[in-house]
Amino acid sequence: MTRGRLFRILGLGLPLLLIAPHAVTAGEVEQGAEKPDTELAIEYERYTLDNGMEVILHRDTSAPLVAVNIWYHVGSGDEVPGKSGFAHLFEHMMFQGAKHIGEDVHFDILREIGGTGVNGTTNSDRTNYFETVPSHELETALWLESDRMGYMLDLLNEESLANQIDVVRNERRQRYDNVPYGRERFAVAAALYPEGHPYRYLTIGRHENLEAASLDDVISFFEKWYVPSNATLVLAGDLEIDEAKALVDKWFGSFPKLAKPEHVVVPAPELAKTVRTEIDDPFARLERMHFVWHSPAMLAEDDLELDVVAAALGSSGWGRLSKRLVDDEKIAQSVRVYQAGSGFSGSFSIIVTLSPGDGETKRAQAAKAIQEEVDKLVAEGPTKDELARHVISVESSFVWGLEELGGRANQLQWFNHYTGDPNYTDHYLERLRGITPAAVKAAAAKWLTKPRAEIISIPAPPDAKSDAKSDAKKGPK
Amino acid sequence: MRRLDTPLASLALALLVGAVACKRTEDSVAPDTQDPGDEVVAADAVEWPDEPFRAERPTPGPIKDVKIPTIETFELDNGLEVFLVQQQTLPTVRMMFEWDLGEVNDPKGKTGVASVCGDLMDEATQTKDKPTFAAAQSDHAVSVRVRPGTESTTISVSALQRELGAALDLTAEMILEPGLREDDFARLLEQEKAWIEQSKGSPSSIARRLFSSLVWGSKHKYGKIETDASIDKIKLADCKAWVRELEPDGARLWVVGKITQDELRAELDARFSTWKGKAPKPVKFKAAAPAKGTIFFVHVPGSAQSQILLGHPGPTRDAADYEATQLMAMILGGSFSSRINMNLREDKGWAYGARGGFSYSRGGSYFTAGSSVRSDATGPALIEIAKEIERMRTSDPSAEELDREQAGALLAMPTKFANATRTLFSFRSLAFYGLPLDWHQGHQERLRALDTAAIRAAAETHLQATDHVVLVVGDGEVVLESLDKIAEDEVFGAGGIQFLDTDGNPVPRPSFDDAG
Repeated sequence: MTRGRLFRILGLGLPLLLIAPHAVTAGEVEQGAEKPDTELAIEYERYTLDNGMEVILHRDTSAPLVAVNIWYHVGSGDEVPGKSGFAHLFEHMMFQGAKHIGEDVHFDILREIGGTGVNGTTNSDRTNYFETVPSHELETALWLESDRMGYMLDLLNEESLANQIDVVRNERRQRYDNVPYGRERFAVAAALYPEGHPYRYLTIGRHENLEAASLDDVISFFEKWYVPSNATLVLAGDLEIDEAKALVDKWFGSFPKLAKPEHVVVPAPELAKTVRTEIDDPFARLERMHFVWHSPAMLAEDDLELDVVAAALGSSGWGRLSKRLVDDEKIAQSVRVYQAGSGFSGSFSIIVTLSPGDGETKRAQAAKAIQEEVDKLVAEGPTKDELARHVISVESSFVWGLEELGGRANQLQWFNHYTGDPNYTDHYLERLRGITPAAVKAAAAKWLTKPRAEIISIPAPPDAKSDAKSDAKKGPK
Repeated sequence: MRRLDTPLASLALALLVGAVACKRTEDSVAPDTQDPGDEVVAADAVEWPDEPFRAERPTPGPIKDVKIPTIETFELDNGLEVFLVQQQTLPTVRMMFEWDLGEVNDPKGKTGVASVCGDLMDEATQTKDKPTFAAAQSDHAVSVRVRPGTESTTISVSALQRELGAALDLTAEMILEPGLREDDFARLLEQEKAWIEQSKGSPSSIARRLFSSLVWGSKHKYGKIETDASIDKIKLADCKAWVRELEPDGARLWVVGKITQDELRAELDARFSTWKGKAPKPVKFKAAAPAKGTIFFVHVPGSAQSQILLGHPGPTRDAADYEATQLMAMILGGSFSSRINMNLREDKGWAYGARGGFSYSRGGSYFTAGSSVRSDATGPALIEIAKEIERMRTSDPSAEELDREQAGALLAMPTKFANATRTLFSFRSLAFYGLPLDWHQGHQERLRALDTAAIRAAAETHLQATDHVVLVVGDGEVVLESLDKIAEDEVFGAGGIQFLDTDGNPVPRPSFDDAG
C-alpha cells in the first residue's frame, strides 16, 4: 500500500540523508557519490472507512503528542454567486458547538486537556481544522471532531449565526478593510475573475453576502459538503496504529455513507487585454504596483517552473528585479514575486512597493523594469545558477518542514488533497530536479506574455478630510 | 476538578540524560484505499447514529512522561558560552549567537541604530557585496541573519548539516570582515524612513509603534521610538561602532541540530580562532513612568475599526507569584476562552478577537489588553474591558476557569519540549531572564499549588483599579463622543484625553465641524 519509502522520519536506525545529488552548489562540482537513495518521505498508513472518510496515520513517539488535522474538501472555490465568504463563515460555525459536546466549548475543552495550535482555516480549495493534544487525550479530540461532523446542526441557532456573521465581518475589517493594500487584494481578484467566478470576492467574501447568510444556507452547505466521504482525517504522533484505528472506527465508523459531492470546476478566463486599475488606499503611505497574470493551477504543468521565474526575479539580493529596483535604481522598498496555484487555476504576481516621492516617474521606471526583466526571462530563461539555487532552496525547505508534527500532518493532507498521494514529495522532487532552464523559459513565454492586470495602489492620506471611499478608478491602460 | 492531582503527578518533567528516545516506526500495510462506491443514500433519508457513548466525554488514558532532551553547556576559550541540544532525526543545524545589545543601547537621540546597523551588517562583507553575499547563501540554501531586538541581538544561522561549513564560512566572514559600505548605509537610512512613514498609515501599526512609549514613558529605554529625526542623526561610524560590540566574551551561542559537541568545537575553531573581545553587559533600567490615567487618541479618518490598547506597568519575570499571575492573565485575556475575548467577540460581536496579558522584558513587564473593534463599538469595548479587569480584581475566578487554565498549563507543557528546537528555545528564554535551566520543575509544583484565592490575590496585586494608560487609534468623528464620556467618568483615571499625531506628538483636538 501507499507508504513512505525508505526514510523513516523519526526512526533511529536510518540516518536521514541528504537530498540528492544535484542539490549541490551552483557552480561547483557535484558532491561525490551521493546517491538519491533517500527521499523525504513521511511514513504513513492510509485507509478508507466504509462511509468513504479517508484516514491517514503517521506514528512518531518522540513526544507524547498527537496532531489531529481534518480536511474537508470544500473551499470558497465551491461557493455559488451571491454566497461569497460562506465557506469561511461556515468554518466559524463549526466551532459553535454540537449536540453532545455542547455550545461554544470547543476551545475550553481543548485548553483544559492541554491542547495547543487549535484553529481552522479556509482557502479556495479546502477547509481544515486542527489541534495538537497530549497523546493520552487523543480520544477527546476525536469526540470533538466527530461530534461536529455528525451533530453540528443540532445546536445551530439564529443567535450564534448572527454573532459569527459579525465576527467574520470584523475579521474582514481587521485583515482587509483597515490595513494597507487590503483593497488591492480585492482589486486583483476583480480584475482577474469575472462576476460569477468563485475567486472574484476572495475567501473572505463581501460584507453584503455575509450579512445575508441564513440558517438554511448553513444547513444545506453542511449536508452537501460536510459528509464523511468528503473528509480526510490525519493523526500524526504518539499513537499505536491499531489503537488509533479502533478509536477512529468508534467515533466515525458508524456515520452513514453519503454521496461524495462533486466540485464544479470553474476555469479562469483569459484576459482579452491588459487592464489597469488605480485605487486610493487611505491606510498606505507608499505606492504599490501589483502586476498579475493568470497562471497554472496548483501542481499543474508549469506551476513549478513559474516558481523558478519568481525566484529569479524576486529573491532578495540576487533576484534580477529585486536587485535592479531596490539596490541599483533605489526606487523600491521591496519586491515580491510569486506563483500561487489554487485548485482551478493560479496567478503569478509581481509586487513592487515604491519608495516615497515622485510616484509618476517611479511608476514608469518600475513598469519599464518589470517589462524588461520579464521579457529577458522569456527570451533567455534563467541561468543554471539561478535554477540550482531555487532547487536546493525547495529541497531544503522540505527537510525543515519535517521538524514539526503539525507540519508533517499538513504536508500529508496537502499532497493527498491535490494529488491523491500523501507522499507526493518524491514526485515533486523528481519534477523539481528535472526542470531545465529551457523549460522555465518556455513556461515564462507561455504565461507571462499574455495580457495581465496592473493594480496600482495610491496612498490617499486622510489629511484632505476625504471620507475614504474605496471607489476604484478604472481605465484602459 | 477531575484529574488534577494523581494523573498530573506523573507528568515528570525530568531532565533526562541522553538524547530523546526514538522508536522506529513499524512496518505495516494499509488496506486498499477504496472508492466510496455506489451504495450511497440521499442526505434527507439518512439516519445518523446516536450511540449512548457519544454523550460522555472520553476518559483520558494515563499521562505519559515527557522526556526533555539534554542540553549541553560549555564555554569556548574566547568566552563564548555555548548551549547545545543535539537531535539525530533531521540533517539540519540551527545556530544563534546572542548578545545583550539591542535597541535599548541605541545612543541618545539616535534611536534606530540597532535596527539600521543590523540590516547593514547582514547584507554584505568586505569582499562580497549584497547580491554576491545573498547568492552565496542561496547557493547552499543556508541563511545568515542579523536580528536586532529590543534588548538583545542575534545572528541566526540555519543550514542543512552537510552545508554547515558553507554557512559558517559566511557567518565568520560577516562577523570578522563586515561590509558596511557607505552607499548601502545611505540606502538603508532612506528605506528605514520609508518604513516609518508606512507605519503611520493604519490604526494597528500606529498603535503598535506608539504604545510602549506611553506605558513605559518616552524617556524610558523601552519607550523610545524611531523617527525621521532620530534616523537622520545616525552616521556610518555609529554602525561601525555597533558592529564592534558583537564580541564573543560574554555572548551566548545556542545550537540545535545534528551535531556533536566535538564537531561543533571543530567547526568554530576552524573559523573563529582570531575572534576575541568583550561582549556588552546588560543595561540597567529605570522604573516605568507611564502617563497615568490618560486616554491618548490618534485620529485616522475613515477607519472601519479602532485599535484600542490599555495597560500599566507590571511585575518582573522572576516574581514569586509568576504562576498565579500567568493563570490569572490567561483567565482574563490570554486565550480564546478568556473573559475578554468571550465578551467582545462571542457575546457582543464587536471584534474578531480580543486579548490581554503581561508582556515581559528584562526590566519589568506591563499589562496590556486590546483589540481591533468596530468603530462604533470603541467606547463600549473599552468599558467592557474595564469591567472585566475590575471583576477579575474583585471576585474569585470560577472553579471551572481555574481548572481549565491550571490543567491546561500543566498538560500543554510537553509542547515546549516537543522537539529539539522547541527545547532549545524554551531554555533560551529561561537563560534570558536569568532563571535556572531546571526552572520547569518548580514551575509545575507552583502551578499545581494554585487555588482561586491565589488567582484573586495576583489580580489584586498586579492589575490596577485605575490609572491605566489608554491608546485609541481610530476615526474621531465616530468615536470621540464616547471617549469624552469615558474620560469624564474617569473610567481609567483622571488624566483626560490627549490628542497625538502619528509620531506621538501632542496636537490639538481634531475638529469635525468644517468639512463634510
